[in-house]
Amino acid sequence: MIRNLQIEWMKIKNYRVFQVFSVLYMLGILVIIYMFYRIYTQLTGRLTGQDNQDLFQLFSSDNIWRTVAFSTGFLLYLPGMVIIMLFINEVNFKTHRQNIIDGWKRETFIYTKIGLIFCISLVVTIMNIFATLLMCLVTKTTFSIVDGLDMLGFVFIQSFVYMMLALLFATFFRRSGVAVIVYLVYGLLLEFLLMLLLWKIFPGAQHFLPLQVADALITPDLEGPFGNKPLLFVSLISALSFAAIYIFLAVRKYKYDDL
Amino acid sequence: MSAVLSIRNISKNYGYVRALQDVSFDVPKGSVFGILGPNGSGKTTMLGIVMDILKPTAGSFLWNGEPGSSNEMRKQIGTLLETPNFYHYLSGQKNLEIAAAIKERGKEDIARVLEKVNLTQRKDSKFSTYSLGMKQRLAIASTLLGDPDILVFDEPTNGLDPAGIAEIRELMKELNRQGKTIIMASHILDEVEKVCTHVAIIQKGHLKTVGTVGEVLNATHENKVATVEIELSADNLATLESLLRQMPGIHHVIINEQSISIECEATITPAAVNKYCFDQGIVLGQLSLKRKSLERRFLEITGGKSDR
Repeated sequence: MIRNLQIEWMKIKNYRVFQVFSVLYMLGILVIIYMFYRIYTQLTGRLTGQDNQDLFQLFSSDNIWRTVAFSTGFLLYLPGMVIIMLFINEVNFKTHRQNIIDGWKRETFIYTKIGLIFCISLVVTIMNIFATLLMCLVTKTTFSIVDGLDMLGFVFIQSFVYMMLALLFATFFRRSGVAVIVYLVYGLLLEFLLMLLLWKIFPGAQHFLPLQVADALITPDLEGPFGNKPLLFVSLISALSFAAIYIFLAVRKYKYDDL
Repeated sequence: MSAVLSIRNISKNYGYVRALQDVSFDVPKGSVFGILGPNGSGKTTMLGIVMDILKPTAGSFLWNGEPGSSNEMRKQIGTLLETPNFYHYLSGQKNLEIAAAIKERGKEDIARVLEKVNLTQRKDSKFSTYSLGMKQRLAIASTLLGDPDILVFDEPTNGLDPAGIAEIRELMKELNRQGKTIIMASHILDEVEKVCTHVAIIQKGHLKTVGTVGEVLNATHENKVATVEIELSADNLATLESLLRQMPGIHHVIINEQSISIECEATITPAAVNKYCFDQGIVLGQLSLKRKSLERRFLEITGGKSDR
């Protein structure tokens, strides 16, 4: 797998879109959390009449890891879109065929893409560490990576689930524009509507939707459809199960279809 | 002669379209095996199946006696299938590095293959800036990585100018002299005839004929008798034509500008034609036996129409 990931890196390191999205994402993570902090403290400042108020203790040492993970989670669609574009580029250039012709197994090709997702999830997790460190410096909160280990694990799983779903859409739709639109529409709109529907007719089930199952690991317990989250270990097992299902479906599709 | 590739009863359906129907043949080791057929006959589908990018509806195949197409086997085969498939944003050099890495070959062979196809000067240019001919040559270079013993080409001269076509023809002959087996799908029958030792003709997914080029050229088609073509001329073509139409065994008489071509039964020799004409008082000025071309044979077998 290491060798295959090296080949995958050879493919993408000079791809301008990948470079731009990578920089955008890494900067975006830092910008989004800092902007959230500024807006949050200004709003709470108006409520309390004092500047830089962390009214709800979001940036306390107990909560800062969750706050950063929650805020930066909104950007996960960027790496998801990159995964879609990278896969569909291969389809458009027919290099997905050529890789098989040259000697990769079909499973090798798709598992290498999954390996890439694993690596990007690690990068996302590391960026979360940097973002938390930044916010600790800004808010003068004690930085302790030990305190954030569990949340970092959830960040890794969340980003893996997001990108695996993107890859699944790419294997099924095989058109970059269609796959990206479906992915964004589903993630930003459709799943929320499904959550509302399930919350009304089958309360609790809304936490077992394709992306929400991973979001539930990170989102705080709130009112409404985001409330009454399942137990943590239930969410964890569910998220890992969904990830396994996405892997199974993507591998199966790629293994048996005509390329 | 052992078979490098054995195809057994392969069929492929795309919904209601039957792209291949029960096709079977063997590719002998060390041959240059041409797969010919009109557009849409199933040639590329066949090659796609044996390279594991398409799944057959039925049937099987063996590479060197081993069932299916293992990835280890494919690493030993140089393949150009349908179009040059490379990363457009990468240079020729970098694309070949990826291909070499997948085939588990070192980078050191890249310079050799680029030189072979005259792309060394453009190796660092992006693939997207290449002309069609350059893209084709890069694809051919990729097939040569690692000096494989088996090469599969689908329309290898596509996009090449006459000089490029001649170079590829000589390259294939050289590779075959080295003992390599070449499987080639092509429309350019003249090139196939010059290069191939064996040929299979496919039409509408059916295998029409297979064998050495000589066997295919001399075989009868359906219930027709084997024929030959003789070109001859005399001072008075009109008289000669009238005489030839009365000669037994002559199927067709074609008037050319300064000669007459006759298609007759294979039992009729030029000497027999010469004697017949002389006995009738006509002295021939020209007499030659024309070797039936593969194109002519191909059109006989396929009926001269593209598949729809």
